[in-house]
Amino acid sequence: MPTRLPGQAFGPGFATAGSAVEFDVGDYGLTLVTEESFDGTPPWSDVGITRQGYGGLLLEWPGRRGRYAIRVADAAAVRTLEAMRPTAFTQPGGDRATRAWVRRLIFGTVVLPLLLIGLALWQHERIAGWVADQVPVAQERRVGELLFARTKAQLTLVEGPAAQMVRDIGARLTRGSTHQYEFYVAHDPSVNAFAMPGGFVVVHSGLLALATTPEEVAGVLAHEVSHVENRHSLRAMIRNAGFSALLRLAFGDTAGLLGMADQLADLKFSRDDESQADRDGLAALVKAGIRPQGMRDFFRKMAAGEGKLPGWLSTHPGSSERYAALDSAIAKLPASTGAAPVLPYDYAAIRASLPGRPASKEKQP
Amino acid sequence: MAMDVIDYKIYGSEMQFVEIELDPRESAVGEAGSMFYMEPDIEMDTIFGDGSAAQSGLLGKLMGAGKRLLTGESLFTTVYTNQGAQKRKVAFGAPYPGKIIPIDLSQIGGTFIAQKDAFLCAAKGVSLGIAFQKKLGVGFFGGEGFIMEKLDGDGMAFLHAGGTMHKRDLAPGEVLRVDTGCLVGMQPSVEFDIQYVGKVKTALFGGEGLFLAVLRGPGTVILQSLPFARLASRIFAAAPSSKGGGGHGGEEGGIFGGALGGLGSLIGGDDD
Repeated sequence: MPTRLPGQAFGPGFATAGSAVEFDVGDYGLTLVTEESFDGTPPWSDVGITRQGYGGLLLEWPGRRGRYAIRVADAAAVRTLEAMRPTAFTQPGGDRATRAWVRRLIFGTVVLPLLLIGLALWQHERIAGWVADQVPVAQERRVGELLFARTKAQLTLVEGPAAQMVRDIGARLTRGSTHQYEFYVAHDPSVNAFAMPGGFVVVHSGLLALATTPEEVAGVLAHEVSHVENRHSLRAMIRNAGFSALLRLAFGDTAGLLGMADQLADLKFSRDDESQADRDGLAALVKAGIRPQGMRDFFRKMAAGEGKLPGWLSTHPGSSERYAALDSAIAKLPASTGAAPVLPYDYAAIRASLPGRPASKEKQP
Repeated sequence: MAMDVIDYKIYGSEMQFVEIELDPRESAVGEAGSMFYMEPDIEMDTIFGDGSAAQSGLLGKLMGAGKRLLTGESLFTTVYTNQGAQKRKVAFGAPYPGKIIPIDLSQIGGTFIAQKDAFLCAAKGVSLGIAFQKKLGVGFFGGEGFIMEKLDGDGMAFLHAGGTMHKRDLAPGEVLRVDTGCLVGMQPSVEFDIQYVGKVKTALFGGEGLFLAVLRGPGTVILQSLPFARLASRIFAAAPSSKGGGGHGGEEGGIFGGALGGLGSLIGGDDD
């Protein structure tokens, strides 16, 4: 039993913009119902059915006088045809070269940038490292000089036996380095030490007051030196300041970097950077012939004082954790390294020479 | 009867306007801002949506207005109604050089798909909807975007586009390849697809882009010879401020800009 559907017919004998018609669809094919004597009854095998871009179906077939087509827009009629001829639809997909170019263009303008952004976010650590490797040491030094010149204005640098000791130990730790190091002691009661790109290392007097042996100070210095050696500041700068800093570094625009100094002032090292600085610092101590136990002991002290100590520790892994890691690393070292000669400084006298040392620090373990 | 039968006359050659004659109680809808002049007794009323009967209820009106926003038209339409006892006229002007083309929706099956912004005015009752392009490639590179305007009804509608408008009837299976962006509108029975130009050399230096729009019949298509974007870019390129560096003044800017402008016209094949 045939079903009658509405449509718009095109082809010889119909209006150029289409004539409204009704047609019957059955098992054999379709039959047009018109007042004109249209004799075509195309079998389904002759009829191509296409889904159209803006909705609707187009039925096409070759007739005796030319090609005919019926467009079906009515939603119910479309459903009827879909149910009746579920496998007959041809997809108008365009030719292969067009599809290939469409894919290429969509890939190039949408997918590829998204992939690159994703990659940059996922591997930003590695990318920052790679970029840091491309920056020459002399360039890093210039940036460091600019940054340190600004920081220096806010520091009260201390001269005397303590500064001399820090410089001596520092020189011993950095022998043969490609970086030019400068070591300073700043008058500040907080337990802190920091390194800036290019080899500027500053130790706060509060840290010297907390330490009890020169080896402990050497441990802290070794840690900071390792930050410089591994160019952690530079990497953090690249991570934080992103590509604008990168471009300025690449083109040697140090004045532009100075403008970003405030942004660079509160650089934070990642926890991975800190662990690496611990490991490399230990190696530097061993290489310089300094007893590594001082480094470990200083972490134990800080672990005991954790919570009271602000600033530095918050960005670092837990001191007790680091103490444990260092302790096991030291245990693996040959016994001779632990028996290296003690550093020849009268540390009690050096501590006494520090300006305005608060008495309370004495009681801390 | 939902549609108002209107008489019209198109004036001008390159910058046209259409004058519509309204019988008493008859109405026309115009794109906001397109009215040119109107005679006495014609009342203007700005409505939300397009004023077609399909948009009854607040939700229907909101939907209709939202669709208009998607096609880049104003949220509001203005209805011009003849409240007098005799025939009165209202005219709508085209917004840029080009042609106005009348479409009798009753003659073409009740639906026409047109480029965004092509709508100028229509008899009241013609509804403006959106037609969404389902093919990704055509939406991206076909030159018309993903959304086109759909005119539904059985009255007169007036479309406007740049340059000269050309109406062509395609027989079933007849194929016409058109530069992307030159399609103004088509019957929904026409298949709109894109085709790679065929050769990389042509794509790069032929000046037609990487793809052509392919229109396959049956049905009526309307083409424009000069898409407004093309005209605008030509005017922009020829504007003195961009060519002579006039904004900066100064000798250097003039020389530099002049040299660049000369180079640009050399590449573009401009003969000015």
